[in-house]
Amino acid sequence: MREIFELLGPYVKRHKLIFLSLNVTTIFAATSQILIPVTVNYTIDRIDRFQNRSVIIQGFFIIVLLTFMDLIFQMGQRFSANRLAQNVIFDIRQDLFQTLQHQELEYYASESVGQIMSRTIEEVFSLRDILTWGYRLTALIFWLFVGSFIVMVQVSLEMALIFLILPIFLVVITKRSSARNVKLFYDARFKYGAMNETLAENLTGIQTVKSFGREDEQTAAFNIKNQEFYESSLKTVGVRASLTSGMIFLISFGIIALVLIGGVYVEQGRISPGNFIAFMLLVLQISIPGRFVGFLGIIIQNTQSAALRLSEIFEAPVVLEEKPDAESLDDVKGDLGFENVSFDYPKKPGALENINLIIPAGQKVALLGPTGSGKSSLINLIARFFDPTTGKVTIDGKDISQFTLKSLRKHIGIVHQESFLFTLPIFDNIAFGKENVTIDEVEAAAKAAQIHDFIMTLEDGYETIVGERGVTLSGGERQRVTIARTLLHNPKILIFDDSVSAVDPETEGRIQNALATASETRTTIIISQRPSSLRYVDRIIVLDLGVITQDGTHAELRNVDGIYKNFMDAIEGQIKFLDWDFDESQVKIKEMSD
Amino acid sequence: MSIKERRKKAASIHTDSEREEKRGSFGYSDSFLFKFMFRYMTPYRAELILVSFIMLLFAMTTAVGPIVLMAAINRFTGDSTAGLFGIDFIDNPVEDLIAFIQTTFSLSTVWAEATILSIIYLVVQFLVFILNKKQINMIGSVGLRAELAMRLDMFRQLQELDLSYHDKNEVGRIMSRLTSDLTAIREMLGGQVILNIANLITVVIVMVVIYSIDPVLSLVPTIFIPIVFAIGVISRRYTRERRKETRRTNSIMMANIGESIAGIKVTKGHNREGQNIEFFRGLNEANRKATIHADDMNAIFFPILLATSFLGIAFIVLVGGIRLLDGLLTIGVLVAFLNYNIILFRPVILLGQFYQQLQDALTGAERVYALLDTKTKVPMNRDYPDLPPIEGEVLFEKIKFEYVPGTPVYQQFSLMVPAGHVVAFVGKTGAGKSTIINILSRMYEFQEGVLKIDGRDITNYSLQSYRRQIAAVPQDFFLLSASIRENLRLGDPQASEEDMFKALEAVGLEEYVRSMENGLDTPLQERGGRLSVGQRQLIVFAAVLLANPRILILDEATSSIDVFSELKIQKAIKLLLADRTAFIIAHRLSTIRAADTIVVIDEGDIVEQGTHDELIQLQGHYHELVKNQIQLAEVT
Repeated sequence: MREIFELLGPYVKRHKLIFLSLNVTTIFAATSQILIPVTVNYTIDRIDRFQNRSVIIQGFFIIVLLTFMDLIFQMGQRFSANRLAQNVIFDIRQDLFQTLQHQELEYYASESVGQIMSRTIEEVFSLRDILTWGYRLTALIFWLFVGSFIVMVQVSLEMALIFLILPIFLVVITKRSSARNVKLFYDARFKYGAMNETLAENLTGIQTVKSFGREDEQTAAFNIKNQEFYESSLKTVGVRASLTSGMIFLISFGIIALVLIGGVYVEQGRISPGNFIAFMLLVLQISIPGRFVGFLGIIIQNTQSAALRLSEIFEAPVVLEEKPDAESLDDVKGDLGFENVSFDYPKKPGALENINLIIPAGQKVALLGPTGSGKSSLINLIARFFDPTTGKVTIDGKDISQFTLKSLRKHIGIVHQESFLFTLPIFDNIAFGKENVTIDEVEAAAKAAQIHDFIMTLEDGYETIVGERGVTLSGGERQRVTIARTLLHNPKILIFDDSVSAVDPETEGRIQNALATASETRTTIIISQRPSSLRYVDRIIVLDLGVITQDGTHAELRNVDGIYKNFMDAIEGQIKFLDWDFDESQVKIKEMSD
Repeated sequence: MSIKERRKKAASIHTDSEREEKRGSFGYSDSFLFKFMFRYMTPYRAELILVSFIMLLFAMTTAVGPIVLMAAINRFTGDSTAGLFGIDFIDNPVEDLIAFIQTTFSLSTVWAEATILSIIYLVVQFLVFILNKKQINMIGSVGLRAELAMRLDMFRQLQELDLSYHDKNEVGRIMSRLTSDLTAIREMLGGQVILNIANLITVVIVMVVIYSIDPVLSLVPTIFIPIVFAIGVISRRYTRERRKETRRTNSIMMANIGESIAGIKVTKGHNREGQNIEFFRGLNEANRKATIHADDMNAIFFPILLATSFLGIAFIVLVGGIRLLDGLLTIGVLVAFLNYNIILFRPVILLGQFYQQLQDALTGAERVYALLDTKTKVPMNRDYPDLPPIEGEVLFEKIKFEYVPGTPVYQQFSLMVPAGHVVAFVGKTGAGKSTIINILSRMYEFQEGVLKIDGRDITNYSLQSYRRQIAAVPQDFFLLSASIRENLRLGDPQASEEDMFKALEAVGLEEYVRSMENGLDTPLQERGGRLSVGQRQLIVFAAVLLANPRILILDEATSSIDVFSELKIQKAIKLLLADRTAFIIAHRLSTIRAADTIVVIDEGDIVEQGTHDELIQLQGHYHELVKNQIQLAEVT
């Protein structure tokens, strides 16, 4: 329970007025509901005494009036609850999204996308139940009990005390059963998720399955998950069956106890028949929301586990802290430096070891090395996606950790290997992150990235929505959009993280030209497997197992034993046919014979 | 465009084909769909009969409870001194029992009667409890079992369907048929139908009972029940559209969350956090509005329903009070009516809502049945003879193929490949290279012509026996996110660990896999395993080696792989090609040169065919292609 209050308390506080109106309307609704049996009681007793029709008509109109009051308050109560729930959920979701946006990449390295997704969506969603009806119902039941108790005490203390036993029973039984039930419900939900995962994977990979003719094996594997889900839901059916029918039985116990005692009291003349009817109606009235007490217990437990998972996100330490006195990085020349830099990933130590490197402003450097040699890690350190474990990275001789992240990243443009586009118009994908951009600027960047002409062939031009659900672009087109995006920022330091990999040779040629111009005035680092990228760099740095093993120009390194020589030899032995859609034909074929 | 317009436009992408959501778009009649759903219930006929019987008892006991109360109250208030229930064959034994208790425990008449009535009431309620529990449990599990069977049937069907179906239907849409559609059906079969039949019986029995107690007073519920029922029906109709909007805004928001997490690196690099948060705020806001809008309908309708039941009380007091005054009924009857008012109220509301649930289930059934009813174009032919072990000679004879009716990719494609030969296909993007592979791997059906393996028409044999002797490796090969072991098992489910390592060794991955903490059990998720593109491809090759097919169909990946994995891949490809018939869409000169025959495809036809040297001599398409590639390999 504490976790729920800790999580929801501050949010509810933000919407004090709504919360207040929820509680006030609940109290009024409960009051009018209590007053209806009281009126019935009053009316019947007076019929007995006065034998008069006007008493009945009076009673009738009072009940009708109370009904309308109840109607208004019930509506008010539900309107308030809906708004409270949605406002709190809105706030939590917004805060969650914000927290995730501000978390640094190190956080994302340890959590899978699926886990984060399920937390932001499923867990927040499960708060809905308690906020929309859980709290409202609890409050209503509570006030109904209080009101009924007050009414009963005035008539008969003994009967009121018997009446009190009922809620105690309900609470005890719910509490005792809920811990076990929660596990069952949770388990069923979990198995459902697992089954759907298997299904999604099978459908996504249906071609693979068919290629190997493994349909039967897949069906068998799926059926295991299907069966597991069935078995775990079967258990929840049992819980539901006992809870729904059990609660009704429990309440009927209360009713008969009251009938028994109340009946004898009526016979002995200690209470009036009207009192007796009022008792009955009060109990029956509570029995309507009372049926849900069992589920309330489950919901509370569910919310508790959700609250725990959410607080893990909110309270995850921010791994990259800006210094409190961080300054803004303005005019940058572009000198890059690594001083004794070592870097470990949490699960993979030794990604970089003792790197010392100076790249003067304006130099163009190619970074080479096998997978896992530390090229991407090196780049991640420059933009401060991670902090080095030891040593420091400098720009113009100054430690980058003393600048604000925002100002630092403004000067660094990275084109990533996987060209990620958001479900937005192309215009926004290029203008991404920069405010007040004119169409001219965007077009200029697109032209530089050799994508403008293509964009103009699209029906909606720059307003064409791309991304996962939008118009599908080819790998090369996507890549060029991301290059335009980076060029628009006009960074002083330009980094290409293997960003021409998915491009066909024709486009590659074009991009290379664009890059050659773009990188003229910039410090540029290129990670590439394509020899064509090496044409215009000033310097080649080879990394292996986190250590710089070679450093020099193409001419210096070409014939020295080492990775670079192996690399060039390999390239010459494996000319690739990617596509042949281009028409330059003035090439000699002398290299063709082996 | 303003930000708002842009947001709207971005959201419009998500309006999925709503047409399919509509009822009746597949043209099955309701009675047919009912039959279809209940077919899954037939194995549980015994259970269903039992449940129906229980429900009848349940309805009866529910109706009896208030009568006992009425009797008790009449006794206590001294209003009626006649028979306890007014029914002789029940009254006589009960009165005997009361007399017996009275003498045995020397109790006063009142206490004796109170005790006996309490006992009767509790027994009745206990019966209700037991029956209700049993009933919910039974029908619930029958519903779940029907769902289980239906889902399995659907999954099987999905495995049967050829790729032309899967191309047209996105994963998400298929998934919803196996999840939310099935849930709607299960809810109806596993409770709703029976519950509502029971509710109907309860309402009828209670009406009969109250009519026999006091016909005049029973007019009150008679008038109120249809009103409550109507409000129930109307409320569902109004909420439905709004609920849909809630779901729509929610799915847009979910997509945005997913995208924002996946694109976090770009966001960070471009300082875009603030704008992302603002954009999300808009989607979040839209969802908040839609949800409040939808929930408000409940906030309006439910209190009205509750109020109707209170109005019922008011009228019972009015009519009942007057009749009480006139001495036409007793206090006990009045209480019984107040009690019945509450008992009647719930089932009637539920009945009002049942109509919509029924519609939901029918919509679900329609979509489920439509899936099961789809004919695969490439049938598995499980009952056909197995293809005997093949040599690997392949003959395409005048094959016509089209993805879209009316626009054939091939009119008359013919090619003969002797067993053990390696054929490389080259040509422009979109020339039809992959189509040949799709025909051969039987992912799609060709329209005319004959495909023969070792001289046997392939359509006369069971598909699985054929697929097990071939292996098709598409370019963007999908690996399961499971362990390396699971992925290798795709090739051969019976492969031993030793076999697996042998295959991994052949492709040059053994050392790497052994170096990993969990070895073969290392999962291949995006973030856990961190296998490079090249390594993933090598895993696929290892699976193919384990499958050891007679015919290999390979679409070489174009995307750049780091040079050092590249060398391994070239070696592995050589190994793969050895000793079997192979069809390759080739991108590497080394692979092409190793082929026995090079086939140049252009615009749905073979334009050149021969060895590397022959085709270079020809100075045609192939020559041009090679020339251009070489230019790009130059460094200086």
